[in-house]
Amino acid sequence: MSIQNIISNPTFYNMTQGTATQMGIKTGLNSVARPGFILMDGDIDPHTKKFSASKEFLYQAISLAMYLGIIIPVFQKGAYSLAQKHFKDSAVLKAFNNPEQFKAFKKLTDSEKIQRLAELSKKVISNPEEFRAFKKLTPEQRTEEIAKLKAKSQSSDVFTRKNITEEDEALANGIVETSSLLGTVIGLAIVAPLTATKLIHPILKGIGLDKDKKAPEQPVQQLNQQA
Amino acid sequence: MSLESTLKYIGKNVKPYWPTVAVASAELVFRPLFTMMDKKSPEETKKYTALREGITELIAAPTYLALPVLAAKASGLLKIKDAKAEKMAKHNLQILGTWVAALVVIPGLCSAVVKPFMDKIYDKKDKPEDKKLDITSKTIEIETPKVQISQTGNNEIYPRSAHQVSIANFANTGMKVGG
Repeated sequence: MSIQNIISNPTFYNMTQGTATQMGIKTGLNSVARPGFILMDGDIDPHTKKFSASKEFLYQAISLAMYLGIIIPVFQKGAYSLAQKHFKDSAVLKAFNNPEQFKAFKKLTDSEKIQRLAELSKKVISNPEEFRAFKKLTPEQRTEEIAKLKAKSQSSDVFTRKNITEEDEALANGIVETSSLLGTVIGLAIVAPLTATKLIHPILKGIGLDKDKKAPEQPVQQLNQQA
Repeated sequence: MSLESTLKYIGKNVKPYWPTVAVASAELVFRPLFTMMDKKSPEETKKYTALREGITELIAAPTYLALPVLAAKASGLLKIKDAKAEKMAKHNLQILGTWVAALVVIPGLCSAVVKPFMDKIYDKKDKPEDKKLDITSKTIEIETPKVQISQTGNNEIYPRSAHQVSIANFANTGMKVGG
């Protein structure tokens, strides 16, 4: 396997798509690496090391949980539903009800995208009433109905690559990414420092780690024996 | 530039290093601000911590921008012919550049720049957060029996052996007996 193939690995590319995923991975790495660096520092006494490493790990872990569990879903869904109201005629925002559906679509190949849009269009025309009515038609009438649906393909009820182009995809992606960027800045630079720090100290006390508490001293008798 | 065209631009051009640069830039303002807002810490400690945090973020923000951009430029050296593969290589290198910046380059730059800079500004003895202050003394503490002294003056509640009274105790108290 050449270096070109390793660097342009499509699995790694697909796994690291989207602001929320990228920041989630980075914060996850920080939660392991930063306490690791503290524990490797030889100049600090063991109790301070343990306290600082636990504090750093808890801060990163709480930030990550808040970021992925609350902030990103709220920002993405909020922005997407606002955009659905603002861009009423946008076929791409009608085809996908929430950002998760759009993100799953974005990862597909070109041929898979065409297939997915056909499935979504089928859903629109095959609602139970329409489907029953369609079944009652004679073969000639059915052909006519299909022709009508084909003509409707320009409208937003039937989704094809004609009304969901790459430009439309860029709009939906822009909504998802802009809301993620805003959520990232507000979540990690403002909300996390204000809230996570307040949760850390009670948790550390709960697990028996206190900043001022020193490591237990060796009994005098034991020291005498060592001497 | 309309809202639609701005969103489309972001949708088409968003890069993996945008969020890290944005967070570091926001932290450049908010971290020192939150530190200065802390009412519990002493004023000098707050100033020291806020300045240290400001310098750290001042190093982090441009590093988060520079490293992924340079890493993406390095993809040109690989001479990938397929346009799609080249796009993926650029993205992957930008992600790796961000991780290297976060885990190696920024901590390294900070320990090389921030500490000496802070030492220059603050005299070492005035520095409020000296690591060495936290080191536990390894000296063996010799336990001495503590003599209890009555606050009420009633010495009878304590055994006599605990507070031996001798005339020597009155030697330099200014007390004169029989004079």
